[in-house]
Amino acid sequence: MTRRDILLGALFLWMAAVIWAAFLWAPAAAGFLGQSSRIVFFHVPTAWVATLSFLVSFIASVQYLRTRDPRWDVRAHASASLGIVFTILATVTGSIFARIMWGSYWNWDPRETSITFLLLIYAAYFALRGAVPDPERKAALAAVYAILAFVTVPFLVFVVPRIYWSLHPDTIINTKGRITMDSRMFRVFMASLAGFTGLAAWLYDLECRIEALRRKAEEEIL
Amino acid sequence: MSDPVRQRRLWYVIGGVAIAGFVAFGATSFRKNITPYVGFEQAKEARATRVQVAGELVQGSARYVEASRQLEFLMKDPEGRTMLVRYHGPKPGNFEEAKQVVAVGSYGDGAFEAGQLLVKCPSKYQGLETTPSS
Amino acid sequence: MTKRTVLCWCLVAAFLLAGGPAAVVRAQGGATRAAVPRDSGGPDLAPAIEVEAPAPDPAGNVAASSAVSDGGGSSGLMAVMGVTLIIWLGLFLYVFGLDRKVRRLEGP
Repeated sequence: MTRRDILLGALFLWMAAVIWAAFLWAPAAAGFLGQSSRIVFFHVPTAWVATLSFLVSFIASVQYLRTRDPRWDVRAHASASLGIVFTILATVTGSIFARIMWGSYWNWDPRETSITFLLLIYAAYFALRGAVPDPERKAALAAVYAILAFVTVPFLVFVVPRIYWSLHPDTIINTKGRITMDSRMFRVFMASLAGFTGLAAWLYDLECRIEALRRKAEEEIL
Repeated sequence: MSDPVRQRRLWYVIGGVAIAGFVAFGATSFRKNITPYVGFEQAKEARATRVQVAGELVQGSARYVEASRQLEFLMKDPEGRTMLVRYHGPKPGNFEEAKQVVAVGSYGDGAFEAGQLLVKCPSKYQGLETTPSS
Repeated sequence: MTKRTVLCWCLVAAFLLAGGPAAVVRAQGGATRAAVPRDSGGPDLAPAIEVEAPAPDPAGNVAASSAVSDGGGSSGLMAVMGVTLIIWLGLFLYVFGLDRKVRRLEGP
């Protein structure tokens, strides 16, 4: 039992508690059909983790361009992968929620349009990586692209929902900067944010280490 | 291009220009294209084209004709103009609670003929026990 | 154990982790949507309440139990929670296995 094992065990218990609380401890919210408000404990953290991952990818890309250290490239790539996975999750869960709440899986609501842009922008990142064979050139181009891509993130994630009329429920932190949420819901929500962030950090760490191992193995072969 | 410092500087310039471009793009072209919802006037002009119109549901204006399964109601835009909407189909379960609706269809025959009705309920992340029931 | 398999698995598992509950919530919401126009499920004030559902109060839905109002109710929620927990357990064990393997490959 290393310290890492204990931390991971704690993450497991934490998320298990969050799952229990999300369904059985927190109340269902007013104005939502049935129990559908509970999706907030899963959908919003995935979107949060996606945004965070894109931010990490941006920072790592800047660091790569400054230092030209391939480890930064590995980090940028790993976090961008995580970002797109969680963006897809947010899209899918959001679409299901849209079907329940406003009656259509997809109607190009501003929220749906903006997340599509985000997916396309980051899909292009992976296409770019796949198109350049030379590792150094690939890393440099990808880093530049990741920086450009991140410029759109604050706009698509934070600005669009606040300036366009949308069927989407109001953001948790409303336009007046106040948080309006039942206290039990809020506690579960924050715990879920923390749990998802922990899970993402773990996956990110693992992804970086696997990539490092793979690159080392490749060097040995060559 | 062999000098790494010059090369890096070049990248900074290219990056800066591109970032400025992205921001400009975001500020201008997105403004209109990102929302699918059109105003009443635009919906009337579009005629047979399928459009999405968002607006406030005029309280108490809804009338459901069971026989023809038709729902008629008035919709109000931010300027206070109203438009009659005729919706064909089963009433959405949370229609009673709706404050704002999106009608998907096209304008014709003095009313907006909607094939699909999307509703926005005034949802709050508040427990049910704290809200007074009507 | 390539990077791609890890990613694929994470995608599927994380999808289930987040999408599973949503899907079942959808089923419940869908039922409400079709059948009961003016109701939005019951509040689960505390898990203890679900043992003995109080009689639904017609005046206000203060005590209306979800078991009565939306066809799934507390037992439904319990089932969704169970499924989600099992998915989380599976995801965790798989990634933990990978974690162990990586640490072994990295050597001392």
